[in-house]
Amino acid sequence: MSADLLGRYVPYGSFVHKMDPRAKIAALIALMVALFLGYANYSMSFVMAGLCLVLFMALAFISHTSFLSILSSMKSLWFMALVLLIVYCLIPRSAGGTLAFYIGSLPIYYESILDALRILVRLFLMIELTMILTATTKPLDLTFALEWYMKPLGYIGFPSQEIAMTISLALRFIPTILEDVERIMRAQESRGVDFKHGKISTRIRAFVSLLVPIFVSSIMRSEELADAMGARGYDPRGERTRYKVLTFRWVDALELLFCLAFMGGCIAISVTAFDLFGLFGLTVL
Amino acid sequence: MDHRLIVRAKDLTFGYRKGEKALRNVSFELNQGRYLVILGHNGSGKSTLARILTGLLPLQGGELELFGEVPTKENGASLTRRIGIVFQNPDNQFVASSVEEDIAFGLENLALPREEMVRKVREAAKMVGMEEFLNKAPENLSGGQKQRVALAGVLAMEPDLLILDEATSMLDPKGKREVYKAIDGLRQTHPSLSLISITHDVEEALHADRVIVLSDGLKAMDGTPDEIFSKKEELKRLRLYPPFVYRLSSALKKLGIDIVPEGDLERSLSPLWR
Repeated sequence: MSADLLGRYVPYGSFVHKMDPRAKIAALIALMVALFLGYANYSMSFVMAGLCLVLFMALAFISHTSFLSILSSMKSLWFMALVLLIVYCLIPRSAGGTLAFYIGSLPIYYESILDALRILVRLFLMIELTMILTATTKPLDLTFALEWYMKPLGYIGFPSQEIAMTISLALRFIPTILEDVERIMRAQESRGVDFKHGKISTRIRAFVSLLVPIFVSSIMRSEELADAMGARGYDPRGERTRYKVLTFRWVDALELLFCLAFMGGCIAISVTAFDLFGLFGLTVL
Repeated sequence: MDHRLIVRAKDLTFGYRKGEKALRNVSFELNQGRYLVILGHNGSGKSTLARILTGLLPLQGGELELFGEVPTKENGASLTRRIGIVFQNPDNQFVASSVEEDIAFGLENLALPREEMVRKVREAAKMVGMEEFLNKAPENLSGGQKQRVALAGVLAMEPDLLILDEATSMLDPKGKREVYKAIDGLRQTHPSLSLISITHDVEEALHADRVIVLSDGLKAMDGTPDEIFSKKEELKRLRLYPPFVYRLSSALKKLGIDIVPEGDLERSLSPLWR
């Protein structure tokens, strides 16, 4: 079994696991808002991201989610990081900036590099925090929570129940499909397909040999799943009752209040353009 | 026991593409409490037959009666609700993220009150010996355990007819034994439950009351396991071989030793030790 944590629920009886998924989603949104706010300068953005990182590490520790597993799940993001860095460095800066160096005749500014780093740190933390949510919340609980949030939309004919079920199934099948990918990769490698070496065009061709069987197996899986659900009387528009009932406890309220207070504090810091370094008379980028 | 008719199929015909027939004029009847095994190779039409019975495929030709009624648009859903089906791949039937929630999935669709669901989930888990695993996630279960959960999910809905569509074909021998044991137990505790098992495993047919062999969409053989497995030449023509206990019995017969082949090998051989 893969150690990859991406989207996988890891059962454990921690405090974070037991929290109401509705509170967890609201808290996640609050933390993301705090993370993506615009602050006085780059340094303040990184300080706030650092605070989010501390929160994330505390959550990982409390929920007994393996920090190393989370980090190893992120290794596939290096390509995105590289693309972002190149794009940010190549975009001409109308506002100018502090020149760092030249690549040929192309000026590279410190601000471009910092912009790329800032967005990378934010994306990294956003994914990490979401992974804590998916690792500590059963997919079906997530669905209930999403459905609960989408309930008001149901009054205007929005298919909230169907969408919630689709999301839940997608989450439930992420580990299964990842295992399929791993198995098919091994099968193709044993026939001489090389996914790791050679020219980009050769590697793209190698990945096509992975994509086709993955599509076929996923379609076959979805067909059998649809049959199994249909045979057990699932009707997307039919009336359903719930086996699992969500209960909102005082600890959930406390946790939500903490995250909302954190977000409120971050908004205040952002709106007032508060600069911690300025307080000490330091000028930073 | 009241042996009322559960399924009456006459000349069932179905084709996925024009001009090609996956099932051709298949007829059979199944009484309450009986165990029917439909045997055949891949592509023989046995899964198509299961899907027609459960309403997952429409009836293209022939006549079908379920529980004494002809399925129509109006009563189709209520009739097929009385039929439970367990499919081949245990992973593709696990909808929820824990055993108890998965067993409850069908009950939720029936819109039952929660208290009733809790009771039925526990009863169904007990029937298949999974009561200790209610909080477990699918990835923490073996193939046989997952398949038993799928079985419990269907049993919780209290079907009158249970169809097992190659339900053991993806399992290892231990997983197969687990599922067979659960089914044997079920037949003891629920004698009114009718069973159709669709399989290519001849050993499974030993436990049945009746066996139908399908080949290229046609009914090639029909009878009790004894009647079917004694026709060795006909089986050979259909590229099927009698179960081990039947082959052993014929080999022993040549040596002048008589045993009666049964589902349980040990029981078949027990007269030899006396």
